[in-house]
Amino acid sequence: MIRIAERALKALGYEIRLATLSLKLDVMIAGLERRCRPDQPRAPKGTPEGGQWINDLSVVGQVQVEPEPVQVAGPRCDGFSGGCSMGGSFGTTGMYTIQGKRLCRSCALKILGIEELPHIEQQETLGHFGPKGQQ
Amino acid sequence: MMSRFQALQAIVTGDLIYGLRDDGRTDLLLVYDANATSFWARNIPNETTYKFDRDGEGRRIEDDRKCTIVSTAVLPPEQYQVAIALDRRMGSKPEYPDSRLTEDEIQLILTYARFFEERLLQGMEALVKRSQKLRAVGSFLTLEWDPFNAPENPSSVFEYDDYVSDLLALLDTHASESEVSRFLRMIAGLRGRPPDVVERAEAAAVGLLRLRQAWL
Repeated sequence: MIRIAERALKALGYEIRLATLSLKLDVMIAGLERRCRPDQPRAPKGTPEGGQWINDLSVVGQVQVEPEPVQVAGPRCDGFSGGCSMGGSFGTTGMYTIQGKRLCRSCALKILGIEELPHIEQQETLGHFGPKGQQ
Repeated sequence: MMSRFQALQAIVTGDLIYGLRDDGRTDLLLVYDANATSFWARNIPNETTYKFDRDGEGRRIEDDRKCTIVSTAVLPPEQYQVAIALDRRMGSKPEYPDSRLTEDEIQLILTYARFFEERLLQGMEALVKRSQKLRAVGSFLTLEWDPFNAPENPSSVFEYDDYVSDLLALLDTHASESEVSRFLRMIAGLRGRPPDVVERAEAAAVGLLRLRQAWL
């Protein structure tokens, strides 16, 4: 009686292992079938992906275009020794080009030594030293 | 008194002359080369260079901007020396603190336009008057309406350069306060200026009409 029970248990174990292997085999076959499609195109030669399996022939050779970076502010102030690198307005828009340097307003005023002038005279003076394209 | 033609023919290397661009900006120019048909000059403060024909019409080499010689009056000797010294200094691209302007140089920069415009070549009055109007309108925009020295989000001294001549043309057509105000709101929008600048457009229009009255 005990022997019969042991054989039945062994047979059940084999069946379980067989079923498990069968399942694994099915998964492997499905995977292979997915990877190998008779109609899957290959990238033509002369393209960066040439010879490789691809999903969509229409995208071969297309260059991924990155979006144009949007400039949200003007160019940075170059700064100068004694200018905004010493704690002024470093990094603000360099709206003036003076003596080959792109400078923010506070640096422009300082490099010309006109910080103490009245505003109207600062503007008048800066206008003469402006960027070549504008002044 | 020399005619304009004679004065322009008499220009030689080393002369300091005065030109106006079509945007109304002024050029204090040092002539550095001259021949029978042409002369070459550079703007002393910003070192840009021009080529002129003997009729006084020229172009900036860097960007082809037009410039007209309107005065060849002779500066007083001490101011001439200041101008020559400034030209040499600007040409050497001095580092700070040598880049700071002297009091005499600031004085020269702030006053040379008046000196030359009081001593014009013949027939240049209308051109000078228009330039003065352009400069007055430009200064109003960046000093009164949208100050370049505002503590937050200041305009550039050159913020409205592209619109000043159109605004002057509008003022010259006797445009109303609301039309000028609408124009100001439009250019503030085009330049992406903050809302408080747009809100001041009506008050600025009143100021511009007052300026126009002063020209009559």
